[in-house]
Amino acid sequence: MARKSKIFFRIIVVLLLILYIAFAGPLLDSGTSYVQKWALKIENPSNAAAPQEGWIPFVLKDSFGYVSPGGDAFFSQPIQKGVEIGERSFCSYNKSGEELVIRNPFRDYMYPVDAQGYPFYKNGIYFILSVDSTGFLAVSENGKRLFSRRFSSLITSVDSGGDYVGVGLLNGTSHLFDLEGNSLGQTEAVDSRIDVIYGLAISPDGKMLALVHGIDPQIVSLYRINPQGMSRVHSETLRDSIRSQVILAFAEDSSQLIVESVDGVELLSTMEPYARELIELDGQLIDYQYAGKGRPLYLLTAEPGGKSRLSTFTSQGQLIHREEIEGSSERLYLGKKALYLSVEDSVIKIGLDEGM
Amino acid sequence: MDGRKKLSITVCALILLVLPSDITFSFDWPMEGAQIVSTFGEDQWRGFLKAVELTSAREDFRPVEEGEIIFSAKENPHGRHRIKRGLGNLVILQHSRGIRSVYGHLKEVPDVQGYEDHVVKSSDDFAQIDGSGVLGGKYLYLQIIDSEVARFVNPLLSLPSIEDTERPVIEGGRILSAEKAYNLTSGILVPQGEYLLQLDTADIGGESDVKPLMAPYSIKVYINGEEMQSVSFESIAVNRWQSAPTGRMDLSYDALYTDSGFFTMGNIILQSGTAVMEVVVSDFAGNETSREYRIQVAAQ
Repeated sequence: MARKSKIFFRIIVVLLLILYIAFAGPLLDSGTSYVQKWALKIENPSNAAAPQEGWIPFVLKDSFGYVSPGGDAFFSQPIQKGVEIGERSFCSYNKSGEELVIRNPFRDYMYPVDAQGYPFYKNGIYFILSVDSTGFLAVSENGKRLFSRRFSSLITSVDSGGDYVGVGLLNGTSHLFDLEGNSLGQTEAVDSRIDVIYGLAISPDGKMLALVHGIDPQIVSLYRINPQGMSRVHSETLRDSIRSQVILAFAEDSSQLIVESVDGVELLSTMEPYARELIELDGQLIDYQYAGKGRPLYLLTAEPGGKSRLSTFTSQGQLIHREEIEGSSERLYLGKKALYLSVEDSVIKIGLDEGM
Repeated sequence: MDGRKKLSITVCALILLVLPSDITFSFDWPMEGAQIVSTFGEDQWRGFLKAVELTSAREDFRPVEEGEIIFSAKENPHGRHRIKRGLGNLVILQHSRGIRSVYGHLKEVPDVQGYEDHVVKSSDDFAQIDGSGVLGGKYLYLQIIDSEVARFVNPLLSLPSIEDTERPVIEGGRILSAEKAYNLTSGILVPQGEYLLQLDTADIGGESDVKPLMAPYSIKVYINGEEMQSVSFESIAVNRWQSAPTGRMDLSYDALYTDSGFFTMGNIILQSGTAVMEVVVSDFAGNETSREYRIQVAAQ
């Protein structure tokens, strides 16, 4: 009888283990300083709940949506072509795949967008890029049509910040607009054998614009935005050239630039003496979160073998912690004392000790 | 300057003047047996198609000319910071003379590091056609950009001629006044005045099995022998943030393709009497179709 009980107990344990592996989703390695709070596998979008303000956006392999900070409820939809999601809205094609709509699921509003193309979300604006990437329609999160523009070259990068929109082009020029589409300035190709804009960013305070441009050499340039347009205040030559879109962004406090480079990420101060720190990474940069000087810089990278890596650095580029994650990651979101990772078909919440 | 020098300079200048423009850059088809399924200037995805779309039994293709890989993009890049593109996986080459060629809807993005100095030779099969991006079929999107003059150039201008004996078709047309629309037929009676001219015409794919309807290369409208309206798709440029054929910068996409199925050519003025309207439509191979309408215009 006792033997039977033992066998039964073992079967139960094995079954529980199988269930755990099947439903718990990818996990962080145990014994680390990242404390995993929960991992939620988003299995069946039809079980979705009505989302509430403060829920966390996620994008997975086959679905996207919002999850509650406690991990006990989620709202999700299957991914069709071209989906972009912000904190308060998302833009996607309807079920028939023909009409593009912006939806605020928290207040259950839906705004049709009279355009065809691929949405790209940046700081409260949806840029609906034309199929051939030579133009866009800018639409606010509440469906207000801001302006549209066509260009004589392909769009390689686009950003918004402050009250500005910036567009970088394959022909090496970049354009600055206000939110009504008035042209405020243009930069011309300079200093390189081949002229292409590979990355463009506008600082959150709307005072600076940064570009990664050119091949031989590839250069990062910093412009100050003023009433007359833009004036270049600094430039640095990068060690090697990336021949595709480069992730380029300002820290939230605009004090530093995050520049994707061939061997990792460079942190460039936006003020004299323009201190420059190289952070070497093995994998390709996928996402980041960075409030600015004195705060941790979180980097999410894609590693070989379908793995991901989450790393934390100081604002001087010193490694604080690094950890490997099973599965391919799509997104890193910084919430209240927590990071939220979109990995394969799961969302993982990681508790943060801000003092680390 | 002596007479001999003057003569030499004059001869050189004359040679340059008589050289056909397409000799300045002559490309090769990216694959053997390429068939054109969509032509430059067509109404596609609510914009001008600034490229040609090609299909072939062979999926591997070469660049139109030796060139350096300067940009590539994946259809669905990971993360929220990189643009997702309707052209799917794409690669862009830089050639001499400021010319750039764009290849879209690829199966995979070629390995940039796999080519010495990132240069793809004209004989290299460097990518494969696929249905990545918005297309349903396996087409190659081929675009030529002349960076020096900031234009999208019709690729057929610089590719070897293709066999095409099919003439374009003119299905009809209409003229619209503020009050009324009149279908174009010979002998129609209309009051004198200003009309918006719309034409229903198309080019038929040459040697293609499916004979797709495509945009013609050129449409010209004559009234009583005088050219009144025309459009041709040699190149597309941008003016005031709107793209338009370079010969008709007033004809933005929204102006030309106002009504689905029609080319809105612009306004014509009909004076009292008989107006003989001739519509001449040609494709890139030079096949031409014309139609004449005799319009009775009544004085008001």
